[in-house]
Amino acid sequence: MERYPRRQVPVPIDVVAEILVRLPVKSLIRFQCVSKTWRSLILDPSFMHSHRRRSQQKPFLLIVENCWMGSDTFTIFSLTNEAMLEECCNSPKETLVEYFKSPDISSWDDAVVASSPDLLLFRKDIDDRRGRCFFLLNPSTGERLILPESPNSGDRCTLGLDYVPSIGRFKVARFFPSAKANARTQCEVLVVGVDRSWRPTKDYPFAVIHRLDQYSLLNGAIHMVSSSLPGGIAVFNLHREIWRMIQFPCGFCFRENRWAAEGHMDLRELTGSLYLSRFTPMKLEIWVLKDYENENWTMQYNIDTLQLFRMIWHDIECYTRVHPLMIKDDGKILIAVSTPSAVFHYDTEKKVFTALKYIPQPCVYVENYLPLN
Amino acid sequence: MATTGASDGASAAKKEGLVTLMSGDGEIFEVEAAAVAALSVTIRHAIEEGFGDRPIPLPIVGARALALAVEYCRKHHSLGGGAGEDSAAYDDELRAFDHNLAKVDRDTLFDLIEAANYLEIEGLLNLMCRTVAEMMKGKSVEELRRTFDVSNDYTPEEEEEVRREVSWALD
Repeated sequence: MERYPRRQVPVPIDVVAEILVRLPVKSLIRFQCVSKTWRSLILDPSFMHSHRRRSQQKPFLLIVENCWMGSDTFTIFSLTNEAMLEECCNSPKETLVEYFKSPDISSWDDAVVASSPDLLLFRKDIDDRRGRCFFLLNPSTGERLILPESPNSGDRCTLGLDYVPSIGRFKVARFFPSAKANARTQCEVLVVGVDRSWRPTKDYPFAVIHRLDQYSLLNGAIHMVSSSLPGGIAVFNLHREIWRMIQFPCGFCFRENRWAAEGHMDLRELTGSLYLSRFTPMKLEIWVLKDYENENWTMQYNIDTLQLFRMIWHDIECYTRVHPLMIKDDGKILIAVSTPSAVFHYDTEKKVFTALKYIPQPCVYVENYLPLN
Repeated sequence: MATTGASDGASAAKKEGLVTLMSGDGEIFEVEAAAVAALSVTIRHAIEEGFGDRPIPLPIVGARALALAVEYCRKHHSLGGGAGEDSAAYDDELRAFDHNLAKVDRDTLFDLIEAANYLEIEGLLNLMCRTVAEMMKGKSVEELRRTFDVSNDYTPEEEEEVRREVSWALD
């Protein structure tokens, strides 16, 4: 040991960078105080991006408390991995770690209407003039930004957002039914921190369904269910601002407002793939888009839900929705039921449901401190 | 890849499957080419470029860090990626090895990070950086300055300003 004297030089900055890039956002913000060199490293855009890329490998699950009753402040809880979600379904209060708290967002009026892995998008109702505004929040830094109002603000609209690497900014898109032509969808976009107003972009020739359970973000594109015939999934690429249609799986038919006959549909991204499920009181069919480019759907599961209904039959309502919440490596699935709110564990081999307690729906979140402005 | 690089030459060292490394402080290490080349991108490239019969100079890597890095490569090469029935046992052994390696003192930690960064040994770099990052999470700014030997180049006014800006993250 004596042959190797204690190092007298400061730790080289590239070594510091390798270490800092593995720290949570809050520590990085604090360590800006260490020295000017550290501060400029931490605030360097390319360092911010490497940090985000690394965080993507271990995303959090966030649970937003506006589904969670009895609180004056607004709290977001985090789960650091998927195993915790299951644990949390059994004992929510012990498992949840408080992640972000804000007294000026109320837990009753404000709702998360969209999220990207980096940001949450809220709708805030302003009671005095029955208006509403939308704002973005980064729960790691608490930074928020109110989006400009749109002249096309109507009740029925869907918002979606994602980070667009080619411009180094977040982009938000807004979709609403066309006022001129029925069954068309208009779209306007906004580059966060750059644009001061919404910019109209290409329409989509069909109507889309404005529901969160029929909306999903994948591969930098927003996916929504299109209700008008022939039906399918409307895909809006945020970077290129172009539309594409993905056909439904073969034999899948869906028309809005015909749930009784055709079941409830749910569209979501799970384990990096697009999942489409249809629930009729007797069964839950789950398709996965295995080959995204060639639109190759595979029926992954066909689950008999009679057993599930025996467990909750006395609480069931005609509009109860059932959808997959998480597909796990061991072949087990977490299945969420909307009314009454409950989560079930389904073992695909033994074909058995196990009840877990109530849990609000989590959203996936990647820690980052990319600036909004 | 590594074995191809090592076998198509004619030198004695290559025949035996050994490669010579020279640390920044001039110490010579004779190590199994396959093991280090499999884990270190830098050494793999050096061997591919025909360094195999001369010592590969590693100017910024000290002898002690190099010895540990080589040990890491040997262990991970012989046990890592091992398929078949033993892989679970190998995984445990590797985890225990990594765990022990990460227990070195602060200076060695930083030397090893520098070495792993230079030698491009992804696993070792990750292991050591994670270890330090874990230590840093709860630390104060002052503690960090001491640990990293950083001199505070802020004027008191500037520091006050930055602290105000990030006050929410200081508690």
